[in-house]
Amino acid sequence: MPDSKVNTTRDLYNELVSELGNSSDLSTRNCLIGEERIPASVVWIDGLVSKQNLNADVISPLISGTQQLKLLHQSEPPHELLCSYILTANHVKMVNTSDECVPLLVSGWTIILVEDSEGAIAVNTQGLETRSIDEPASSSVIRGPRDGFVESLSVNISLIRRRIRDKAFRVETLTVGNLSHTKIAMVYVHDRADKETVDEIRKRLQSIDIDAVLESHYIEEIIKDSPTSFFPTVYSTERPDDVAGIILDGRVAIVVDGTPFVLALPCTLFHLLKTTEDLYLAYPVATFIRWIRYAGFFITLLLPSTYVGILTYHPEMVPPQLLSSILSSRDGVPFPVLMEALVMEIIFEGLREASIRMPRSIGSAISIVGALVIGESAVQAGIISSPSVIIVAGTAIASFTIPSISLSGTIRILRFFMLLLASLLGLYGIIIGLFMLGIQLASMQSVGLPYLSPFAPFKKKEAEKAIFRVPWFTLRKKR
Amino acid sequence: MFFHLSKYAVILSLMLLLSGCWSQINFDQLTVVSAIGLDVNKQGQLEVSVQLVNPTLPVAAGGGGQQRRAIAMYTANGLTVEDALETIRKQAKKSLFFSQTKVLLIGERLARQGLDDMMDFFWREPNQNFNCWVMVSKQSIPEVLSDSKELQAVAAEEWKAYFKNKTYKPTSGGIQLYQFLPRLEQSSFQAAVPGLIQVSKPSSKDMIMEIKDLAVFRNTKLVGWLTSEEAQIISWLTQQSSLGMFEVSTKDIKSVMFELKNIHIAMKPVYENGQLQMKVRMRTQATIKTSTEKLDLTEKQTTDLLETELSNAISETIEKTVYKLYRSYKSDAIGFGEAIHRKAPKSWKTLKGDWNNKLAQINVQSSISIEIIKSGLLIDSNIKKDDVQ
Repeated sequence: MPDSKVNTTRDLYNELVSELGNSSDLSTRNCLIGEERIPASVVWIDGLVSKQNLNADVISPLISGTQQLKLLHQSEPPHELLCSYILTANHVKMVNTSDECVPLLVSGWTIILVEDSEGAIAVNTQGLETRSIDEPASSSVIRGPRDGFVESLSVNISLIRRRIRDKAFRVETLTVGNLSHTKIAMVYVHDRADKETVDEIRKRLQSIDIDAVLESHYIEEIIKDSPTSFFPTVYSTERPDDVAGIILDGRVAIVVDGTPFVLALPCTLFHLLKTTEDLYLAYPVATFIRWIRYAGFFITLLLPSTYVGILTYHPEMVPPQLLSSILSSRDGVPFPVLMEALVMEIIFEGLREASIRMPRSIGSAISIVGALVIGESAVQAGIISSPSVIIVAGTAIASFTIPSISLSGTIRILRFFMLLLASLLGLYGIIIGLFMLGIQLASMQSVGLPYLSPFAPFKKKEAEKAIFRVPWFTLRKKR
Repeated sequence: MFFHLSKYAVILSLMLLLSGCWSQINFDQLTVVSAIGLDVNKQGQLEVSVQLVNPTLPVAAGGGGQQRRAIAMYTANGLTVEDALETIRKQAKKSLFFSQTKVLLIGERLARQGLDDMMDFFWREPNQNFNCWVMVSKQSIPEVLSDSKELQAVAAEEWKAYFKNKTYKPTSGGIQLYQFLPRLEQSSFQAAVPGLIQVSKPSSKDMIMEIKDLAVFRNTKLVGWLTSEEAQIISWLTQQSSLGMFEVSTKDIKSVMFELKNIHIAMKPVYENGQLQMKVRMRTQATIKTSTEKLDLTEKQTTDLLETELSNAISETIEKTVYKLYRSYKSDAIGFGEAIHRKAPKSWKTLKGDWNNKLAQINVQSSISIEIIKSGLLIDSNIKKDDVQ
């Protein structure tokens, strides 16, 4: 037996251990295999492998399946013999250096080192603990599928694939993150997605240089158009049916390992105001709800600023009875209208943040306390007038109708901006603000698609589809 | 980079503050003026009164128990309206808010003197309500504005609601400021303003006001009054209203009250023998409201008789009203001049110079067609004694 060979296997093992810095979750199982009782080591990282697979596919065939097997001096080298004859795992690979071993080991593979043989065998025993498929917390529906994405890339892709069982469905995987080595996958339907869009997104993904990707927003922020803009140009969702609809539309989805939020590109303002449930409800109902959502968008943006603007600059616009009741309820309130609106809006934002961060059991308590504090006590103590409570509550309700969390956040910030403009210039200021907003929105794009399409530039058919939920029976032609 | 940018953002946003609070209204100091009154005092000086509303919570919002006066009245004298208002602002210490004024009340004495110098304020002031209703009061205006009692706390609101009510429109003859102002200068269509008159009840302190009659203006001066019945004719002729009640009592019929609906009326200037004539054509549907006479409407004769009697009565009233306007008051408050202007603009040019004096020569011919369509629940006549058993 040449000494060098013995050394190679030992060396490889030592090298592995030292490269992983003697990490204590590295497990080793030593055994003797074959009739010749050759010492072998099975190496894996705890928690990343499925114990069941490890036992059934690797350790038990190695030990009990090789007892009557002569490993040495056969026509094939012992590694190949083991691979093709003994190991029952679905994916087996030969590796030679520790540089090849380490990435596999850390992604949940098991390495088998056999003494006196060159290199090692890597067996796929990946078995990460994953959450079961639940209803997504961020977007629940009344009617529609209740499954949501989980944190595993392969499960997520399978969730999409089981909805589109066609050969045109494409998945392109790449690894991002110098330390995290996160797998991300581009998913699209081959003959529907625009080739240039796919190429552009692929180019952007490949040029990502980042240490770690812990959530898909890392990717979103790097690849999005107009990165300084407040508006989201990348859509994100937790719902597989949503993603399936998106890629059927010819858009591209990006699935990131480790997060249930899947990105989709391109994304316009109107994509952010649609929901999948629009398609699951009867078309008149869905159209009506969609209009309410559109109204909610503007109400969130403009209601507090219009209130402040009109009261401070144009009170003659208020109908007499309303003016009388506003004036009387503001009687004795120590703050000016702007102050009042601003304070209430900020309190509401605080309340909203608090109720998200609170443990679920206390969350309901917070909302009760908040509602009581804001609604009842402040008004009764005469610190805040009741119309402004109504305005803030109306704005809050309207902001909840916006389906996209990121868009709703943007609008909620811009609301303060509009509030300031209205307090300085009245309705004139609001119009200035709307013009600025319009200029900004019209100048934006999402991977080549103008952000305000299909309205600017105007495309009749698609604009119709954006305003109304067009029923299926009128759409005979293929999209 | 963020700090770098935010430095500029802060500097730029400071520029926004340069505008200051330009034209901002101090909302909490704002007090709604519900009514403005103009009159002359004994010394012949202009006397301006404003009725300010003290905002109260609506009763629905639990404001029923609020103990404070609903209105406050301030009066001041001055050379001009603005002059007097300046004094009032000092008295009230509030910013007066004229954009929701409901009523402009003009004293009869001032109206008879002429409004020439006062109206400039209303033409010029941007912050005011052109939709406020104009009335002429026979009583002293400060008294009316402070003591008149209506069911609503603010009397002016009740008056405005009365003018807006469709049923009262024919007799109330309401006119709004935007119509009133130009008609003061327009001889082809002069202003006629409803009167606000106290119902005499000397025992109680509260004043009960009635909106009735019509004050006719010749240019800026009040020249005379029309009764409510005549006011109704005016509002038909000016097409303000197409409804009305009309009572007929002649020697044949004691008294029958009709309700008129769908009144279509047209004034037409016609030259006959070089003489300007006014032809009025009216088409309407009538319903019998009450009758002191026993009417048997199953007889065609009765219906025919009623129709002729009614049309004669209406046509008589129209002619009487127009002659009163044209011959006694020499004021074209029904806009016949405008009708000529539209129909024959060229001949209007020769007429308009001395229109008020030419009015007296105009003859009125009216033709009226009436259809009695409803008679209520009774067809033949009053209930006979046999039926009751």
